[in-house]
Amino acid sequence: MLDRLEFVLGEAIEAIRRNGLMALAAVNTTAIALLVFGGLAYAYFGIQNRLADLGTQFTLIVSIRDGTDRKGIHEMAQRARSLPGVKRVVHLPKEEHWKKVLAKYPDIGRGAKNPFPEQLLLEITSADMVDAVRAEMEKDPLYWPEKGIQDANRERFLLRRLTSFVQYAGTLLVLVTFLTAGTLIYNTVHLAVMSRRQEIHTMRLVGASHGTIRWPFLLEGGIEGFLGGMIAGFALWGLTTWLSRLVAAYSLLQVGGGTPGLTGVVLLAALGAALGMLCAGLSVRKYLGAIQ
Amino acid sequence: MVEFQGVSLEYPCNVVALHEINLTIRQGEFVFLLGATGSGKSTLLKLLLRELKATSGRVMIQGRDLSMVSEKSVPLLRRQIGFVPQDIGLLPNKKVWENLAYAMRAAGHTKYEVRRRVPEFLERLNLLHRAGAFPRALSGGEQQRVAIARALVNNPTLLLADEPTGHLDPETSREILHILDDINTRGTTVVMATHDMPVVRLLPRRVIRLEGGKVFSDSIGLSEDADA
Repeated sequence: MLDRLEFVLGEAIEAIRRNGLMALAAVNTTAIALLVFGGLAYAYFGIQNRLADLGTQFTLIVSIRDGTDRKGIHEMAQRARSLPGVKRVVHLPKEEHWKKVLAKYPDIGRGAKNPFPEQLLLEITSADMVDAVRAEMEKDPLYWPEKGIQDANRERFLLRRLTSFVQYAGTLLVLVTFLTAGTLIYNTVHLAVMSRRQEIHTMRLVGASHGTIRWPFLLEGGIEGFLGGMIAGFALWGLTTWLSRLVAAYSLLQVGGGTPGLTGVVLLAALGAALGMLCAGLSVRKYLGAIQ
Repeated sequence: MVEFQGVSLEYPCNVVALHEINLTIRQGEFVFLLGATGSGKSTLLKLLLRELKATSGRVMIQGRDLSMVSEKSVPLLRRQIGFVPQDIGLLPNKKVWENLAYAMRAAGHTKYEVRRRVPEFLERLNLLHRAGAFPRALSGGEQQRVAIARALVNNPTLLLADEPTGHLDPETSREILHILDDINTRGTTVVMATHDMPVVRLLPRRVIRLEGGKVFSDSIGLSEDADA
C-alpha cells in the first residue's frame, strides 16, 4: 500500500516538476482565490459576532471627554438620567473595557495603548426616542465629539447592510476567483496529461490499473490546491492579525473577530486540495479518456 | 490459448479491417502474422489487447471471451500479455533500467521486486552493460531488446510483437528473432506481426498470411504461394 502510494505520489511530483511554471501559476491563483474567500468569510463572521454583541436593545454609548474626573462623570450620568426616554445609565470605565477586550482577543492588545475613552451606556425606552437623546447628549459639556456616540441601532443597520454586501458581492467575487483558479488547475493537469502521453502509453501496455494512471494527476491538482490554500491561510492569518492590531490601536471600530489562526490555515488548505482534485478530476476525465 | 471465431471488425465509415477470421493459436506456439500494410495484422493484435472490440464474432484468450471483459478488468488482461509496439515507445528521459523499473512499478510490482528482477531482464536480453544509457544512445536493435524486456516484466503467457524488425538491418533482425524464439522455447506463446518475408524465412514456424482483412493462408513456414 505504502509502496503504491510512493509510486503514485512520485509521479504526481514529477508532473508538477515538469510543468513548473504552470503549476506555480495554478498555486498562486488558488492562493488568491482562497485568500479572497477566507477574507470574506472572516469579515462575514466578524460582522455576525459584532451583531450578536450589540444584542437587540436600543442603546447609545456616549464618550466622555478625556481627563474628566469621577465627579464629572457622575454629574454627566445624572444629566443623562434626567432626559426623557432614558431608562438606565451605566458608567463603562475605560480600563474595564480594555480588560474585556484583552481577555477576548489577547493577540490584539499586546503592546498597544488603551484606545478607549470613559463611556456612558444609555438604555433608551424606544427606537423613536434614540435621536432626541442623542441630540441632547451631544450638547453635554463633557461629551467628547472626537470619540463620538455609538448608536447600536445605527450600527446594527449598517452591519446588516454590510452583511448583504458581503453575501452578494462576495459570492460573486468568490465564484470568479474560484473559476479562474479552477481553470488554471484544469489546464495544468491537461498539460501534464499531454506531456506524459508516453508514460501513460507505457502504463497501459503493461496493464497499470486505471487508478495508477489517474491518481497521479488527481494528486497533482490536490497538491497545487493544498499549497495555494496553505499560502492563503498564512497570508490571511498575518493580514487579520495586523488588521486587528490596527483596529484596536486606533479604535476605528469595536473589535471584530480575532484571527483565523491555524484552524483557518488547515481549513483553507483542505478546501484548496478539494478544489484542486475536483478540477484535476474533470480534466483527467476529459483528456485521459481522449488519449486512452 | 487464442481463438478467433468468425471475427469481423469494421471501422466507422464502412472500412472493413477484418472479415470472418477463424484462427486457433495453441499454448507455446510461435506464429508469424504476415501481410502487407493494411492487411489487418495490427488490428488483430489490438483485438487481443482489447484496444478494439470485434464488430462480430468472438475473440478468446484462455477460454475467456474478450467482449465480456469489463473496462475495469482490461488492465488485468493486459498483465497476462506482453506487447512490443511498432514504435518501440521507450521513455526518452529515462535510462534503460529506469524504463524497465517504471514499467514494473506501473504494473504494480514493489520496489523490492524491481531491484531483484530488472538486472535479470537486462542480463537475459544482454543489456546489462547498457543499463545506464538513455534510449537515444542505443542502436535500433538495443532499443528493440529493451522494448522486449519491458514486455516481459509481467511474465506474460502470450507475447505480441508488432513489426519488431520493421526498421532493423537483416543481422539485427535475426538477433531479435532469436530472442523471440528463445522466449518461445521457455513456454511463452509468441505472435509476431511482420511484412518482412526474409525474416519469416529465417525461422520455420507457423505463418498466417493476411490479405485485405482475411486469412489468405495458414501453414508451417512460407507457403509456395507466398514464395511465388
